[in-house]
Amino acid sequence: MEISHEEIKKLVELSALEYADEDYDALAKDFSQVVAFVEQLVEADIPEQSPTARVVSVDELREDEVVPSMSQAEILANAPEQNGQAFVVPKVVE
Amino acid sequence: MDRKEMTSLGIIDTLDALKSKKFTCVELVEAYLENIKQFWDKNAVLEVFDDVLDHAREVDEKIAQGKLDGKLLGVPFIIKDNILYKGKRATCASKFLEKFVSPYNATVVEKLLNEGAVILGRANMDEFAMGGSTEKSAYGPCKNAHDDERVSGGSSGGSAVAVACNLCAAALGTDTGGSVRQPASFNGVVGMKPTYGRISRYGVVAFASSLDQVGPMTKNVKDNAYLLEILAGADIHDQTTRIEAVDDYTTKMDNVSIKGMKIGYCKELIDMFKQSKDAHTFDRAIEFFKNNGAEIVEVTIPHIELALPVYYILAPAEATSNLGRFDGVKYTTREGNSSDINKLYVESRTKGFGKEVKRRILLGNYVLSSGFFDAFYQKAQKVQRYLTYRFEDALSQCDVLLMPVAYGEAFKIGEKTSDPVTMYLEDMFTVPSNLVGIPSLSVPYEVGSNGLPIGLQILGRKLDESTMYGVAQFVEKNYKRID
Amino acid sequence: MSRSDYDVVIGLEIHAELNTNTKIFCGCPNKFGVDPNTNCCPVCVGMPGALPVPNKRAVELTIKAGLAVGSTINDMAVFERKNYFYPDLSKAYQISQLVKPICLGGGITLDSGKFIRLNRIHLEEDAGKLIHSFDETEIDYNRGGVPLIESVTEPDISSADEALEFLTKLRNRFVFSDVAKCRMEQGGMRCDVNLSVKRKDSNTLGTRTEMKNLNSFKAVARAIEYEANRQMDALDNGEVILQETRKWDDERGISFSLRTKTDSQDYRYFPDPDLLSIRIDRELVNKLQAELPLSQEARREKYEQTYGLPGADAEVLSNSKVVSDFFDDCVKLLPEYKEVANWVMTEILKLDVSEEVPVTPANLVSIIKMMLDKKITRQNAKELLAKVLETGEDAEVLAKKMDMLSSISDTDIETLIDKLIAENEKAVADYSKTPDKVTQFFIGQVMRATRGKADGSKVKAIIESKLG
Repeated sequence: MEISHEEIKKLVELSALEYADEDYDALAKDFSQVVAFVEQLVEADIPEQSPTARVVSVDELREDEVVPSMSQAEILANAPEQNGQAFVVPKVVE
Repeated sequence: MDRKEMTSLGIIDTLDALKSKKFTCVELVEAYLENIKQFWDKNAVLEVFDDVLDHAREVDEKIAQGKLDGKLLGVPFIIKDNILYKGKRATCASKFLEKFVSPYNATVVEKLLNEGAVILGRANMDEFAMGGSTEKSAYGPCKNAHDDERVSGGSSGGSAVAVACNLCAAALGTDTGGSVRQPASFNGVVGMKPTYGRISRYGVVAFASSLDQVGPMTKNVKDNAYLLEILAGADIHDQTTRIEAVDDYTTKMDNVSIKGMKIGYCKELIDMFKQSKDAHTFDRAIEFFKNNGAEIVEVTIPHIELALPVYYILAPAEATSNLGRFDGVKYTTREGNSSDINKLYVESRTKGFGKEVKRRILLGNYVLSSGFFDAFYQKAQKVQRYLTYRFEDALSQCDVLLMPVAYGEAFKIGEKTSDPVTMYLEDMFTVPSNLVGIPSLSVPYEVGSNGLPIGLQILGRKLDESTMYGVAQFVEKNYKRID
Repeated sequence: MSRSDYDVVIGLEIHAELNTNTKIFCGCPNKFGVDPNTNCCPVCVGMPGALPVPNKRAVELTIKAGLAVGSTINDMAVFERKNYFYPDLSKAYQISQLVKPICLGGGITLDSGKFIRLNRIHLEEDAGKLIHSFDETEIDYNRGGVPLIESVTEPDISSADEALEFLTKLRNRFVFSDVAKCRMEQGGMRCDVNLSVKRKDSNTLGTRTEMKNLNSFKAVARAIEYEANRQMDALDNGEVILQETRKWDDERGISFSLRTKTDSQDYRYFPDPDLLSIRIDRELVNKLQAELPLSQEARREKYEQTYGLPGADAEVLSNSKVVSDFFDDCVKLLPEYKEVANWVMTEILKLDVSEEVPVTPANLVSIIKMMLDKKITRQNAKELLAKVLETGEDAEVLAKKMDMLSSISDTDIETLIDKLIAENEKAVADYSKTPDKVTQFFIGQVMRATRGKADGSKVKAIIESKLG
């Protein structure tokens, strides 16, 4: 299946990524190959099976008991920008 | 004991030697550091931690005081760069995380440290564990332990080479679609992926959460089982860990008898392997077990060929979501000086992630996006369920399944990087056990046409790592190559 | 066209923070008003390697919320990831529920008899908070991971009044079931409005808009009025309504477009692979149903029917959960319903009872009891309550300290009155002319002599029997 530049652009946007215009041809070719590869699945006729996922009962969930949090300094330590209290980003306008 | 001899020891032998004072932990660590220096060009190790000799001295003090209680006391380890060690960098071999210093320990690291292990450093890998050759590391490819022209395999290539070149007594890798077993096969070490949920994933940077498992990489099978006993178990920080008691693998594996055992192989997969120029190696494995009294069972797993497309839908889908947190705000480098938050995300992520990672993020978004979700993701889950039952059927007809690990020995660096699909096909034999959640390991047994190691893959029933280990140990002790 | 030619069609999405000690997926405290990023751990801030571990109580409270509004509880619940980039969302996905929420259906009947259906109630994690300054935005993840339930109605609401009544009733259900505190002013309850208008003579539904940022019930009502009018005006002018998300500006009393449907998000929901599906057993649902505190309506009915209180009293006492719980505890100790009700309504309700009643039921009951046993007078009882509130001490201990307890027997009072009659001949002589005045005079004398400890009504009776 051919994947159009338009479709790829949408995926690039959803992914919060960016490609130069001249990269799109190669990207589309590359991507079409990968999609063709996974597409064999779509046609496969497979009977339905009962679920295999493990389940847990409510009783087995974590008790609602407080455990100590991490220090503010440790929480913020890896941020590219912070002010000792909070992570800082450029002004967000809705 | 000289450096070569000291550093050739596995976990159990190292423990014995340290306790019987054949050498000190400082001597041992210095010997390993010397080896690391010698093999630096392999690019297996991204960083040696600066406090390793301090830890070695602490161990020596403990041994001097007769405090010998740690099950890994003084044993030098190297861990894959996606496993968090408090106060140390963990970059997932990505430029994006080059400055990330973990403020907490992964559960597996906590367990290693509690037992007195000395963690020497972190191992190279494919960026975010996406790849099968460790060529996709942002810090350059890791070379094969036995041939500088060839790949180490991946994504845990650095860990495998570290064990094979004696840069540590044992290493940790992670395996999402073969990332422990395939490099183990390529470098001639033992690499194991346990039953899904047997080892905690807490503090391991997620690639595809439903498939990821930490795997021990060791110099011999017994060490591997010994290490699994320590690493396995339920973890309150990881809901997907299994609550069943951890087996006494090291004892149970010794009780496994090949005589009368049912050993199976999957017809469909072996037919695919016939295109390999090392195809005869698998026939020899079958012959070996037959000669040793095992009953060989041919099982059929319909639609096994769909395992790869299923994997290349589910894994990127989960990865796309797991990697969303890397955005230039909290843990990663930030690029550009945009005053717009969305531009900040885009510029940081575009510069931060490597090409393959971005390709998989796009693919993940493709299969998850509205309109395609049912056809891809839902269908992939359906096929995954189907295959889970087929493997259950297969393993009800036999005790273990044998499989190749890869199409043969390690390939050349650069040989398979141009075309993504060719690269993906490499994972055909390793992906199924991740998809269906059963344990599998690679044990060295043959060499290929270029004289490089080839591992045999053994798959066991859910939570039955012991039988798998027993069979692997039998291969390790008794298999004789016909050169 | 006139306004009456249109129907307004409204659906609400209501978020409420659950009453838990810890967050939904980690052990950090669920607490409001602390320093930024201090109630955080690797899970809350989406650190690499961190994994979510679900809180049992959060799931149980969601089940209770559903039971309180008559929902069906699913026997299997699944958490899914809702993926989008926004700085308050630490992982770039929110863990929520889509295909298998905990509660399905249910609803609330308005006073008019109209039933507003709920589509679902699901459990999810709250996002962090953005604090905007002049040129930058700070992110505080303390609120990130606080457990939220989202209740989604069917589009059954047709006016601001109905919306307000529904919201009030829903809040009361949650508050009275101990599920949530629903404090809108702290962001503990938030509401989005989906609204469209439809010409009465048409069968086709209008295009709907979604309004966010409604931080009070009043804002909800105003925003509904504004948006309904805006849409009807637009249709009258032949304009097309855009499917869009609008933000309400309460200060200016207007809403404005945030984004239209065309650039709306594709959230790419899929089951969270870090979390197991949760099985909800019938036994648990039955147990939680049995534990469910009485609803506001049931309490009012009980006060009226069982306790025999006037309707107005029942209404007042059941108005707030804090007061109702307090009243229930009091009458358990002292089943003098009307007396206790009077005390609660006159003395307790003038206090600040938004969080809790500042006196224990035992203390209040002990005061009322002393009064009913005539150990203290009504006037002294009120003084005593004031002192209890001030000091927090035990009422009986205080009563003794303040020398309030009456130690005067009826015969003592008679002797005293005989003595006073003998000493005040003139007053006795005046009794036939101004009985009330003279009685009052003697009561005053008795009270002075006993320092207020005598029971006024009893004194009056004795005086009247002696002089009458």
